[in-house]
Amino acid sequence: MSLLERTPGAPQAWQGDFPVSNRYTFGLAGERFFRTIKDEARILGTRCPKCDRVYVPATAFCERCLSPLDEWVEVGNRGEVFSFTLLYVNYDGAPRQDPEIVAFIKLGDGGLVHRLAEITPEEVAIGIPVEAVFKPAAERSGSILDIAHFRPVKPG
Amino acid sequence: MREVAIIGIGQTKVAEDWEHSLRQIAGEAIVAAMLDSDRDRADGLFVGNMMSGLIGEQENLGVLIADWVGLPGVEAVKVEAACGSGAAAVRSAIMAVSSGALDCALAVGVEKMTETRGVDITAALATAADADYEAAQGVSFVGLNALVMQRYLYEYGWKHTDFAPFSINAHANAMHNPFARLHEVITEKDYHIARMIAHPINLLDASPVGDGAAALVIVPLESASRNGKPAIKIIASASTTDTLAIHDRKDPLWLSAAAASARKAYSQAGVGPQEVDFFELHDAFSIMSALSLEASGFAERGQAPRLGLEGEITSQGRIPICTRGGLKARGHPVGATGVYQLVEAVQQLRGEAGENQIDGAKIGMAQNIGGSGATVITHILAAAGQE
Ligand SMILES: [Zn+2]
Repeated sequence: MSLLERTPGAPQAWQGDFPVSNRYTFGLAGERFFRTIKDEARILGTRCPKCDRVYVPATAFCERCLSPLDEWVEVGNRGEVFSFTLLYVNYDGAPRQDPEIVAFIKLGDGGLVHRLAEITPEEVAIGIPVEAVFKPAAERSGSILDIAHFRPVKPG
Repeated sequence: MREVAIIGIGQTKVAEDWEHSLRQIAGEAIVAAMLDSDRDRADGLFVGNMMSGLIGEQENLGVLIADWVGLPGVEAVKVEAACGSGAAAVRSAIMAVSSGALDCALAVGVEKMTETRGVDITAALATAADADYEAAQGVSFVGLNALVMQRYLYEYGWKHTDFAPFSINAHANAMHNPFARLHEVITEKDYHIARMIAHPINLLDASPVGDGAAALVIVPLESASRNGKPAIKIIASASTTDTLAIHDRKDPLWLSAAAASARKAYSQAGVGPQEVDFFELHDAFSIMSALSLEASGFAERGQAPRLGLEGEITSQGRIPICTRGGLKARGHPVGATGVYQLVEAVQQLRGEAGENQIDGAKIGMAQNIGGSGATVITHILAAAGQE
């Protein structure tokens, strides 16, 4: 019997849990951007041919000339530290001994704010090359956190 | 469009106030503002507030507060623009009065923040960022500002201590403001050794949150009484936006929305930065003081720290800022802050700022910012007879 069918004998309430799924959409460009990270561990941008600008994260429209963007380009998993910070306070306000490192990483003509790891605070500097480290495929859920962190590119 | 004036101001002390509820402090500020004016009724109420729903589980603040202060039947709504909610509410009140829709509007900014856990406040503040891309990682608001400050130091070659004058000035001014949260003089040494929060931002770069409410009574200039306190004319009100996420900015070191907002405000008022006698800016973090001064035309790009180091931001300087303590020392009850700034600007233009009084202040500017430079609202006020 469908839940929508009302019959006099139908129970008014159920005890316990049952699974309900829902869909969250990131929008036209965000959908493909996050899906490619999840399914293929690749970072995509969209390019505006008029302005010669690659948007990362991908956008559906160029914010300069408002052209719809459908040229998808892979920007690679490497970028450059544009700026960074050492967080000495946790999200809950508790102080931490070893700082968490967060960076603004330039990718294409945009970038991402994300964690840096496999590096010491002394080694972080503006301009160093870094690469994305993805979570194992089975753990990826279609979130920006499917990128576990960025780490310095090893020379050679 | 009618010319508009502020005829009443009220505020509560920014504090960790566990004795009074949101509606009580809002009511206290409104009653003070009405008593300060020559009116006993208003026909509209605009409430600036950011997080009552998130942390206080109370929305519909317009009617909540109208009901509490005894304004049954009036138009009353909440206006939200993150930390810019206060000035956004004031701007709504100004538009309602200048268009002729209302004849006397109240704007109140109110926030209750200290009765909840730090983690909830951080999460609530992070809702001002772009949730899918920035906030998902637990990067706090201070983290985003730290990224901007680090890059600023790198590009322009300043040292962290070059930002000390912004915090020292704010704390010194707040000593004479009974409504300020912090009454504590700080020195360059204090600034230098303060606890690091998000390198390079330390505790003395960051403004404290708090509980507080501030209110304004806004009427058409022509109806302002000539007998009471001098009406303060609103000669500009301009609101603009930028991208929400900082990764979408062409240049994260340039507050393009602040530049556009200031430019619009100067053009409405028919004045330039050289005519502005003082500037209540949005110093949520010391880096924001620098970026706001540059975007508003008071300093060249990358040069705002020099204004601080040369003493030009103090009450005797060329462009006094945060004259009653700013966000840094008066405190930053987020959705109320924009209204506090305007209350303080009115005090200066009436000559009621006591020890903080700027001699001969005729034109004052206030700039309120929501998100990391995403929403920027600039107001310019003038003492009657000045424009
Ligand atoms: Zn374009």
